[in-house]
Amino acid sequence: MWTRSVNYPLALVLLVGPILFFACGNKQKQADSALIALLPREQLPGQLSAAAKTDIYRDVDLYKYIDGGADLYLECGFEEVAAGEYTTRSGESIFANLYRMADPDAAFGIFSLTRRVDFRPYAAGTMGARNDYQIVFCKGVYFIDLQTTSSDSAISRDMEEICRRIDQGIQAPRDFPDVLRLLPRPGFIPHSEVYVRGPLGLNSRHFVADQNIYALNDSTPAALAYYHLREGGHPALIMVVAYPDSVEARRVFGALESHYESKAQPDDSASAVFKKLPTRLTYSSNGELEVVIRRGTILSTVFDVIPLEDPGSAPSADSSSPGK
Amino acid sequence: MSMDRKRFLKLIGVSAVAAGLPGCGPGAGGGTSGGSRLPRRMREPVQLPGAKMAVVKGAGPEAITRRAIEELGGIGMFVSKGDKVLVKPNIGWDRVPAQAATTNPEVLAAVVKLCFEAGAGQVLVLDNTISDSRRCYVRSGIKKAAEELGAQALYLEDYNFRSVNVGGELIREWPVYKDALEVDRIINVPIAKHHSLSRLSIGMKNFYGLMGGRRNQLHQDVHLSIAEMTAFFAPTLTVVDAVRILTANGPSGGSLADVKQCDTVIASVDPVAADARAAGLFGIDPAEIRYLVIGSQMGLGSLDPATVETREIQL
Repeated sequence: MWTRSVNYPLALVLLVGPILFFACGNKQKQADSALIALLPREQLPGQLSAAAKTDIYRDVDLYKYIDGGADLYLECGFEEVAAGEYTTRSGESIFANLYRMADPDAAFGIFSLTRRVDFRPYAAGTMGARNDYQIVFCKGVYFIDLQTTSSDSAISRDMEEICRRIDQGIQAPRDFPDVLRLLPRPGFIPHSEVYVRGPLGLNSRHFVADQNIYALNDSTPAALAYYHLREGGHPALIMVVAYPDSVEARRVFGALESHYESKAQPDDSASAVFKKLPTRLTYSSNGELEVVIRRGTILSTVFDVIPLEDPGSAPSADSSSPGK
Repeated sequence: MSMDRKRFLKLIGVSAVAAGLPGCGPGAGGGTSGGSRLPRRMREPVQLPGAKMAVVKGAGPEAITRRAIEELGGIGMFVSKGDKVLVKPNIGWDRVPAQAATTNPEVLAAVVKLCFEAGAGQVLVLDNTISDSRRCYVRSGIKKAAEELGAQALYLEDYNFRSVNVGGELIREWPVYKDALEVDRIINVPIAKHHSLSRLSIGMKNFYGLMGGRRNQLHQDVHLSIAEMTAFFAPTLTVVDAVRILTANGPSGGSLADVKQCDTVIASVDPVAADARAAGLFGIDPAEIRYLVIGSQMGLGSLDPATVETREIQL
């Protein structure tokens, strides 16, 4: 019941609030449609049928979908995923995950982290890769991941067709993160470049520390790639980070100095050696070598370690430059 | 100015996210390395006269699992007649065994069979899955493997979680599945796999599957949380399924290209050593895995598997 002494601010919130609330909700539903609409549902190849419902996960709800795997995606800039599924007549499934990331660099980042060394290049999006069971590609702000448990060639063709339709549905320029241009060319192993925005991404290629010693973030990302540095040797991993200024680069260099110093502390095995110069740190242990070089605002690190996988066995590609 | 629903709610002062982490101590997020406050333990460790760890390699998951437990003195060292036993696999994901994201059903079946051979009164098999439970239990092959032998493969119900006093530095109190509190023995049967946050998910991480609540809240100090829950549940025996291991893109995996065939089972009364030994299969130094270091500091086991009396068998 209205009285003369009306609380106008409260009344305004109560009156306008619900209207704006549902308007925002409608905007979210439109965003749902935009993502789901990219997953083909009509005239599917090979008599595939699409699951009735496509699940959507946003922000930290990603934990409900991929649990501990979510941290890496969130570090990269995850915003939303549409999780779709297609079923063949024989009951095999093709899982189609369509991720919307914060920006095209983020999409390339999670693509580069998901791509494995045994993947071969695949012509889709900005960059694509595949093996017998999985196709991944990035385009604009989207990262697309299709997987099946069957290596059947017919299912593989169906997966390629789904992939082609999704690719066609996304309009975006072909672009790569700027930091990739800092990676050197000589010895570069094609399709091994990785773009990371934090320690989880870095550690997925080479474990440095749980802490974010390199101070990586959205505005200070890193580019990594594998290189053949010498004949017959195992490939080395090179990382490049461009800091906003030389003060920050020097600070991170100092943090790395402390890190390697504590790693090299004498113990019973006493096999670790650490040497430091004003712009270079060298750490070696058990035949493995890590070198950090500071030049102006840029830190370059060579991890000359035995990798768990052999990126040198990756199929050769058309171009030998990083990010192309 | 575009706005989504979440930002709108914040703008008009409705808090959608609780401040702080319920159930966690002031050390949360501080990256502590095993503080002074140790969790309470549900049971005392089993003392073995001989080997504390067995690593068996060979074809045939059932054969190598049986042999691994035999080398520790046999199942009778861990299960007594009439015991109620929880055999805890990893069933977290909607995956088939070949994808190595869930425990191999043949390894699980071997453990369940042994429990009944020892006279166990009841054997439970369960996990708080990430994907839909029914699909996970079925596609992993674990439901069928367990029920064919007379074990109960239980789907977890929300109302069966109980808030318990864990008593840790990070986790003071947390919802835990009731059935896990009411068993005589816990035999942990994890699969060995990569984890993008903790680096590895093996036995100690497997106890997340007995926890309820918003587990991702613990990720800000995932290593301490793993050690604390291992201390709390205090497994009788750990049997690591390394028949196939997931080398990358864990914990959910999915790509067969990330799976490596190792044909190995590691059994141990030392949960830290079991994980540390399994870390070697990934080429990882256990000292680099912080939850192993914390677990060792807490007295849960040995960080260096070389210091643990071990039987290495090739079948």
